Amino acid sequence: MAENTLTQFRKELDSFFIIVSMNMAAGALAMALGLQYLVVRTLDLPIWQVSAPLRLLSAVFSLICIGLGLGWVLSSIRILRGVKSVRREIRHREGGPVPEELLTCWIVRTLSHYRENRARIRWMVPVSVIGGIAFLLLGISNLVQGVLGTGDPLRWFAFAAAGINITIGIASIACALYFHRYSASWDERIEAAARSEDALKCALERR
Amino acid sequence: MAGRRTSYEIYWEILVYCRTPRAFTAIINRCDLNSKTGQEYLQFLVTREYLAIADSGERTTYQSTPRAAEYIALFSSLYQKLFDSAPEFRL
Repeated sequence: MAENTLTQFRKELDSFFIIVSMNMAAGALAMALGLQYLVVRTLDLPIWQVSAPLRLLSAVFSLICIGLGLGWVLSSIRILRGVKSVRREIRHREGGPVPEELLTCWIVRTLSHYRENRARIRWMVPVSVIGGIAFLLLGISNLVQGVLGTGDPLRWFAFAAAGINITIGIASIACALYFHRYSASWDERIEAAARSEDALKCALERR
Repeated sequence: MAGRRTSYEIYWEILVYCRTPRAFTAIINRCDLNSKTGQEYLQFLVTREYLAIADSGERTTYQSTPRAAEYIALFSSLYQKLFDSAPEFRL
C-alpha cells in the first residue's frame, strides 16, 4: 500500500508543481504586460497626443495589471515554497526505500501546507480565469490587428503576438481548472483526516 | 514542521521524534511549538503513558513508550489511506 501511496503522492506533487510554475510564469507575464503598457501607452507618448483623462485611464489600467500580476506571482511563490521542499526530499530518496514514517511525515506536511494555503489556492482559480481571459482578449486583438494590417510588413509580429497571448490565455484557464481539481481532492482528504480523528482520539485516550 | 497542524498530527510528530530520548527544548524546536503549548502536549502524552520522563541529573528527557507505537502505526495507516479514497489529482 505504501508503495502505491508514494507513487500517487509523488505524481500529484509533480503535477501541482508544474501548474504552480506555469501559473507563476503567467503572472509574471501579466506584470510585464502592465509595465509595458504603462511605459508605451502612458509615459512614452508626447503630452499633446493624449488627453489627460485617457492618459490617467491607461495609467490606472496598467497599475491594476502590475498589481494583479505581482499578487499572482507572490501567491504562486508562497504556494510553491511548501511543495518544493517536500518534492526535493522525495527526489533525494528516489530509487531507494522510503520508510512508512517518512511518507506519513510528507503527507502531514503537505496537508498542513494545504490548510495554510487553502484560501490562496482557491483565490488562484478566479485570478487565473481573469488573467486567462485578458490574455485571450489581447490575443484576439493582436489577430484583428494582423488581419486588418494588410500591406504592413510588421503584421506578422501581430500574428506571433496573437499566438503567444492565446497560448498563455488557454494555459492560464487550464491552470484554474487544475487548481480547482487540486483543491477538491485535498479538501476531501482534509475531511477524511478530520473523520479519522475520532479513531485517533479513542486510541490516545485508551488506558 | 510548521504550518497548520491538528493536535493529533502534533502528538504523532512528538512521539516519532521522541523514539530516542529528547530534551524539552529540542522537542519544541523540532515540532515548532512555543514552550507553553509544548508543555501542554508533553503533559498530556506523559499522563497517558505515551511518553516517559527520564531524569539524568541536570537533564530531563522524554522518550516514547511502547504504547506510542500503536498510536504511530494507527496514525500512519489512517493518513496513508487518505490517498485511497480521495480522487487522484493529475495533469
